[in-house]
Amino acid sequence: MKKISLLLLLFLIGNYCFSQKMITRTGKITFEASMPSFEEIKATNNSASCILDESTGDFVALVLIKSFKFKAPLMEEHFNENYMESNTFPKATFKGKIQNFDAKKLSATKSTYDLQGDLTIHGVTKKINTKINLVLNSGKITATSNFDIHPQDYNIEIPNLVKDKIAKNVNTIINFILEPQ
Amino acid sequence: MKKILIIPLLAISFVGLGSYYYVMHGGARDLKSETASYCVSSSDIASEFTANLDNSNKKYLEKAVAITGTITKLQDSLVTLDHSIICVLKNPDSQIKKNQTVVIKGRVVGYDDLLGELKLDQCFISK
Repeated sequence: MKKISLLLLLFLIGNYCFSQKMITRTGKITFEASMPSFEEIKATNNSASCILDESTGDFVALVLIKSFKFKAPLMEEHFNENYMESNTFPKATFKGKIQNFDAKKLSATKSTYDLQGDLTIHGVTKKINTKINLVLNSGKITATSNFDIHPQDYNIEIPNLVKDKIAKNVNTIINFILEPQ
Repeated sequence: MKKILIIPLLAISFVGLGSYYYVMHGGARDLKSETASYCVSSSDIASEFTANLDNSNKKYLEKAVAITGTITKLQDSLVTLDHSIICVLKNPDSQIKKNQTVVIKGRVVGYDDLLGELKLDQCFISK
């Protein structure tokens, strides 16, 4: 009996150490492409999914384009139909790795890591390199990052007529609160 | 003389206000007034998406659908049906409970192949 419970305990500990996956399905992604003195172009998505594998630092995220919310519904429609073509490309994904990630070093004070990986938007995949901040708080990891996306890199065409009203660098902010599965 | 000036001015400002309102608030969908394009069970639509993602995307994306299923998780305005369908409610609903069988109507926003879940928004409980 003792042996069995010991084995069970070891098994549980093993599981805990080796395949701890941290997950969110309510990750927040905000981007802003506003130009000074023009209409604010800003959208938020509160339903991004993300999985962080604590044993390897593998970081994957997925967001559905149609769930980005704008202030004006017409803007949302143009974003989906004319720019992102979300019927053909319904999602954007990121697949990467947090460099030198060590789950044991996480603490309540912010630690910054390099994040490298492939970002796929509008069906085009590009390598990106950015910083990610991680904070461990009562068993949850808050991951935040801030980077620029250039629409032309992803074959997103912006008509000449509105070129001056949309920023070339789209500032993107992510905020994920990851919990054990 | 003054009256003649005031009338066109008023007309212009009405047109201006109207178009401003349309640009800022117009074009929003109201799912309550739409009839559902498809009425399906949660397991049927989930297996359709796992079997053929591209075809299912073409068939369901942006459409208003009514899905019958059992609530397996309830978290603020997020309702999970049978572990596979995530519905974001338009307004939180205090009437519903876990393990209850409901019909949820909403807009299909896409399939999350990372977690294997179908996502809907602007949802409300229709039965």
